[in-house]
Amino acid sequence: MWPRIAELTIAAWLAASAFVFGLPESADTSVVPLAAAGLVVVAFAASRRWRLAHLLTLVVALALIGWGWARFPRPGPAAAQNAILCGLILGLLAIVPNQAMKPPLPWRPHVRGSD
Amino acid sequence: MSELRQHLDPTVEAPPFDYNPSSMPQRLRIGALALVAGAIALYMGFFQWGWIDSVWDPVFGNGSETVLSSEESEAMHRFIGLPDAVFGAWAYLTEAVLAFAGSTRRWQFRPWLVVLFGIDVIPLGIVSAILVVLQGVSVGAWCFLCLTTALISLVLVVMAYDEVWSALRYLHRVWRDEEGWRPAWNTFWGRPSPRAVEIAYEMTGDE
Repeated sequence: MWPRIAELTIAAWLAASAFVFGLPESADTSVVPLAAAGLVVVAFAASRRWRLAHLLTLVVALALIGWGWARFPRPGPAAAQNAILCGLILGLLAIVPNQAMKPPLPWRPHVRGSD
Repeated sequence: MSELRQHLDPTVEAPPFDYNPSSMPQRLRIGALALVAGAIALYMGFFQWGWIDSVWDPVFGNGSETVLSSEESEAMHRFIGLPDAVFGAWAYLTEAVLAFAGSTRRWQFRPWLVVLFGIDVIPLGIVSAILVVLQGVSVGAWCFLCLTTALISLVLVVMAYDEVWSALRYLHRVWRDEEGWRPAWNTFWGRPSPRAVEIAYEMTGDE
């Protein structure tokens, strides 16, 4: 589960960073989507109802990268660069399976010592 | 198949190698080295972000600062939206995360993960090392830490190729024996056909 824990950490930072970094006055309302993105990632990472829910974090990651990349003239303000970096890291973590250190389910019946 | 159940050893060696290329010690070494390179890249990124005033360079003096604040570097910053050194740090982080993830027989159990890791480390590592050298030539100055990370990228290529080779060799065997793409494709994603499981036994001599 370490990828999900790492996602939760990034999500917490993402939600907090919406208030840490000052945004240009014209983009004040962007604080809401940034914080919301953090909360959505928390929901996906903590979800136990569907084991592939973490893949939905990829959508949030792409949205963050897109927002940070396109919303401001580049190089953008700290908040935009933070969004791009968080998006890149979340996108990386999202592809790692929940039980990454164990064999995939179809293999487990064939593996010695695997339940 | 019933006699084959519960006998695959997750730590077995992967021929033609006489060791397990997916073993944790091997992958921890790769991940640790990638993290060292990532930390170096992040340190250079701090300079490009303006958080520190200078960059340590015992060989080329202020060459590092010249390279890191060059027009080429600024152009990359505008294009990516992040300083190129920070983007490089993220790239090394991806190598570390992909090195750490997966079981000790992932070259058969999760080929997609090994192939993705291979794409990240081998072609992208070689290209990034070439870009570092080209940037030095273009700017007319050299950056000790950039060259250090480029060298680490090349070392990582050497350290990672065996696992990728084993995974590709296994997928090729499944594709050849099953005479079709679908079984190999499913095996690639960790959903082996009965024949793919048999091949897993045959390749490693598990009994």
